[in-house]
Amino acid sequence: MGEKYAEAGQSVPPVLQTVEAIPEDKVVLLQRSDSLLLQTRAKWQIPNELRPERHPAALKAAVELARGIFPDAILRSITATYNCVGMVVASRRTWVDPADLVRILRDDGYRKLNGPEEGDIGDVVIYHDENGMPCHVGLVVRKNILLAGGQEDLLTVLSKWGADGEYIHGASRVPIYLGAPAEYWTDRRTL
Amino acid sequence: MNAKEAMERIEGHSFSAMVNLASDFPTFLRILTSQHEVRALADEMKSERVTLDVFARVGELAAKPLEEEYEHPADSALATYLWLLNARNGDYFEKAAETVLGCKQCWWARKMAEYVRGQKKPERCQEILQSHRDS
Repeated sequence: MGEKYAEAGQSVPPVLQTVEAIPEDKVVLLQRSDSLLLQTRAKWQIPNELRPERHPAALKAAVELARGIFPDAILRSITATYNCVGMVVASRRTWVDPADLVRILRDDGYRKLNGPEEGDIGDVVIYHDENGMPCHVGLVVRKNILLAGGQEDLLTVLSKWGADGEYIHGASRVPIYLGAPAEYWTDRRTL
Repeated sequence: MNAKEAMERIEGHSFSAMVNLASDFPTFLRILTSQHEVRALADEMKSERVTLDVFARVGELAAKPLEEEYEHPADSALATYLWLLNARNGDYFEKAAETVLGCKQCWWARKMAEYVRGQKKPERCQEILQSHRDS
């Protein structure tokens, strides 16, 4: 007998996980209606939440706000359905809490660098709030070696500013509430 | 800024854009508590009449028709009013939180209701609230 599966876009009722009661070879994937099945490479279930889209008028106001704060930031995309961590670790599919970010990177085999000078394209920049906790993250998209000294930031970053816009910007050029660049992580491997 | 002006701003797109710079609830709380219009309304809510107006406004906003594909248009304002009501009147807050939790398509407002009710309390929120009190 074929099983019935939810079709794309169809909501699925929440199911409680009872892993201890299920033998490993019988474990099935369980899905909540408000999140995605998402795991690290070490098979840790990443908590995440699906957020509804915000109204176009609200998104437009967010673009205007960002333009007022940092006119030189380049808008890449605008949607509320994922946040900065979701952009980096979940392919822009869902919201993931910054509090889980370091665990996810470690599970996925990333290692911490000694500073921005060791960073390169594709690496991850973690921003800390005033209490030293991760509150924002971005991806390095350019290393400005030739401009060092003439430009404020060595690294140019792509990051999602809260709920709304995804911007390309100097690593330190983010709204104050997104904190300051503090940690640099990479997954680069060499032979 | 009087209560009416503060509420108009809190329900506006600019305020929503500002608080939605947050990627998590502790940051949302930090932005919210630092906004001028929120502090102004908090002062005005020392009046019982204004507190009652804010409580009534939660019901009005929650009852607004939704566009199914979009988040609740008053999500940020509802979260803000819950925060302020909790500081003034626990009974009003409880009723308002119940209304919000029954409201579809809310994001920050639902998190605020759950947070204040003690269902979810990220540790970072305590640090933010302490620094807010200190300031």
